[in-house]
Amino acid sequence: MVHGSSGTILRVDLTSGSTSVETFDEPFYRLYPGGKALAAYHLLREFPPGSDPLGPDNVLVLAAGLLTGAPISTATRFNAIARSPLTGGFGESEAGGYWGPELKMAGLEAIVVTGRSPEPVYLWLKDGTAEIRDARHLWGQEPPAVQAAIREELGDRLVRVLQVGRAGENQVRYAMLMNELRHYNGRTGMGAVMGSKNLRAVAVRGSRRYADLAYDPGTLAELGRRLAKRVPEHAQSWDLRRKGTPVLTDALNAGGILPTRNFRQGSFERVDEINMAAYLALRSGTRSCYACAVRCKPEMAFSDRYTVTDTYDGPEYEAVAGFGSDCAIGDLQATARANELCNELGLDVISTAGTIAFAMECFEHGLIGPADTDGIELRFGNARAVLELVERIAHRRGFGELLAQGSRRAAEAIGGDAPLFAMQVKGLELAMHDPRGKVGVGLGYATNEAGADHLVGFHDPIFANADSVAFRAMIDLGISEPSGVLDLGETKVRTWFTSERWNSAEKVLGLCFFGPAPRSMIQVGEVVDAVRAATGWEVTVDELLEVGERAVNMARVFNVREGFGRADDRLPDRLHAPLENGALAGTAIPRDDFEAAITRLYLLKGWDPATGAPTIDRLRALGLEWTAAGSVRRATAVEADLGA
Amino acid sequence: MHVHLGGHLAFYDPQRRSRFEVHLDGETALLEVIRRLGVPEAEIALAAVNRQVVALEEARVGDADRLDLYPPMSGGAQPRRARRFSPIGPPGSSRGASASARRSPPGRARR
Repeated sequence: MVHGSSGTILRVDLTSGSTSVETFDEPFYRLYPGGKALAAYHLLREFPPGSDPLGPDNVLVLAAGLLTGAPISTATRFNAIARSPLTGGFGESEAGGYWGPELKMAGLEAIVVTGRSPEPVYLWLKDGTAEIRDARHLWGQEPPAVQAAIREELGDRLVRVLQVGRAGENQVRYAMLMNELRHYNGRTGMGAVMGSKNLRAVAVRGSRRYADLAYDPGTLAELGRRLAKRVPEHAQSWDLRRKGTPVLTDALNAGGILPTRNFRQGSFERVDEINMAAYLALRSGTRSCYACAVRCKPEMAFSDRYTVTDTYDGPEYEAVAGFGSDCAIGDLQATARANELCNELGLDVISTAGTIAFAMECFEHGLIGPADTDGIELRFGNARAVLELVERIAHRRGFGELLAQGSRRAAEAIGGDAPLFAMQVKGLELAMHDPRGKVGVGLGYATNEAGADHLVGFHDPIFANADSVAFRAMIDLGISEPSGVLDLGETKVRTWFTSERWNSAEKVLGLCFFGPAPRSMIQVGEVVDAVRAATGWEVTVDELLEVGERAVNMARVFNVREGFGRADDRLPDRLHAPLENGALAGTAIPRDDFEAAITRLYLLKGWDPATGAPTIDRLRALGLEWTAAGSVRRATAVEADLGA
Repeated sequence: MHVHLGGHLAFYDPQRRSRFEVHLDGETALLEVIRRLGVPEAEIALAAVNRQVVALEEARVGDADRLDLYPPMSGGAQPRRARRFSPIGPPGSSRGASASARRSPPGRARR
């Protein structure tokens, strides 16, 4: 038995309509213990290089983490991984909620989906059995109706439903997946991939308990009880429960890096209309993910200038800033409605907001006009225009057809200076964090295989004060030397690299970033203890960091194979130009310093500074020599330099 | 003076308030105000007086001012230098156990 896992993977070929199961052994699982690692392994092995992300050859892997479903707070996440239709590279997105734990309780670690069904279908998984069922009657229906119909058909109201929305059906390149209507694999277009396969939903129900899988369930249960008691006594978790992620709006505005008017500015003159106080006036409650005591998910329902129901997750910070300051809309009700529309239609909030902000800037510069935008006056601050565009994007109607391709493709089509206004890396729109005030986030944006995601490494303020609670929680990761938020020197790069490996390990284990370091409700040693109790392995922090690094390297090899190189690891030019206002007015990321930091990072990673490709020595050290076969380019010319 | 304790700094107020008024007798050093509020200085990454970022060590505030304090969660303007490392374990941390967890078990071959 492989403890902490059922050792079982489901394979689904939608072209032939066949399913099969595979098992793996313990040595394999120790190298690829779930989540990002397990999914990346199958993507690398099975994706035919160069295949169309929206074609039948794309491989969509849904994988639970090693600890997903364990009775400890924040152990809820699963990964969706495939070639991204938005970036053309490694696509990945994680979500919490209940679906990942249920997959694990159904006796599956991952589902590997290939092919394309001739007609819409959904998958029904129950305790190790799989059935492909007709979903023609569900196509085009709204998510709550789909969820209710599936539960009705299966005669079980506790079935957990993962599904795409209309945007996924229509293959909008940044369509997302949702489970239980409230939890989203938002980034890199995994909903478009699932939609392209005519797979409307994956319903799952399991009767196992994590205790049946664990090596030492008693220790895990005790840790779970301890963490549940700790939440109200731990400053950061208490704050997350009380306020949630929108607490960032005031702080980022004060620091001068609240993305405003498509990242031109760092301070929003109407911040008080979208800030925490405004938010709390509208929030109606909070909800939880599976077995998590943090309870940070917001509910919002009101009927006033706009009407919003609590059917979906309320706006997180990314929606508040994305549809608020970044589109210059000082109206939280409008941003909440835009957020709800994205959820209802199955769109990634960040890419939708970023693409609309891009289009607004194009409009204001005269690159596009009302004749292009179906008559919409697409100026910053026009909330009605945003709401109209969200619908047009999801239905790929009119001007929405162009924006449904994402800001990079839209910019290429518009031409002129438009590419300068597309705030994206590798095609993925920037999250609502401006690296001009936290440059390590920029390192993550630039070098992350999936593009400009904000959850790649820790954010720089965590590194700044060695006496802070957050910093002290990192000591067990081997981080001991502070560095400033604008520092791009050796210390910053080294500590950021450690944080990237740790975050990646969390994506493998199925832990939410609101649990372990840097939030630190769960101490680093407690994560190690949890893995030990789950598996019986004598793991160490170093081994977990290596697990994280292995997953990153697989993603990097995938990108190398698809033609990505160092030139793709860059920030939008705007971030190398000064912020226009706010506390950091005039601040830019120095281009030379940033390039030097990337070189330094590559060397730490054992990657070729010229190409950004992993060296064969590094791959071998990580047990990944098998990835260097075939079409993967080897970059061994500078190996002699890497020991320095 | 109007005080706003951003993020988890409100946890350190005995009544766990985010926004409240305090009375100051004349102009007072910001660090002294922070000491009276009971907020650990190490948890403050950003301070703004009347919406202008200030240096903790230098600023003085009066009764008519508005004070915003934020923990290290956001980034942006950095009015203070990074501190040197001081090896103090967090309350209730399992540093001892996890320090040993950093090492590979004896005799175990690592890949």
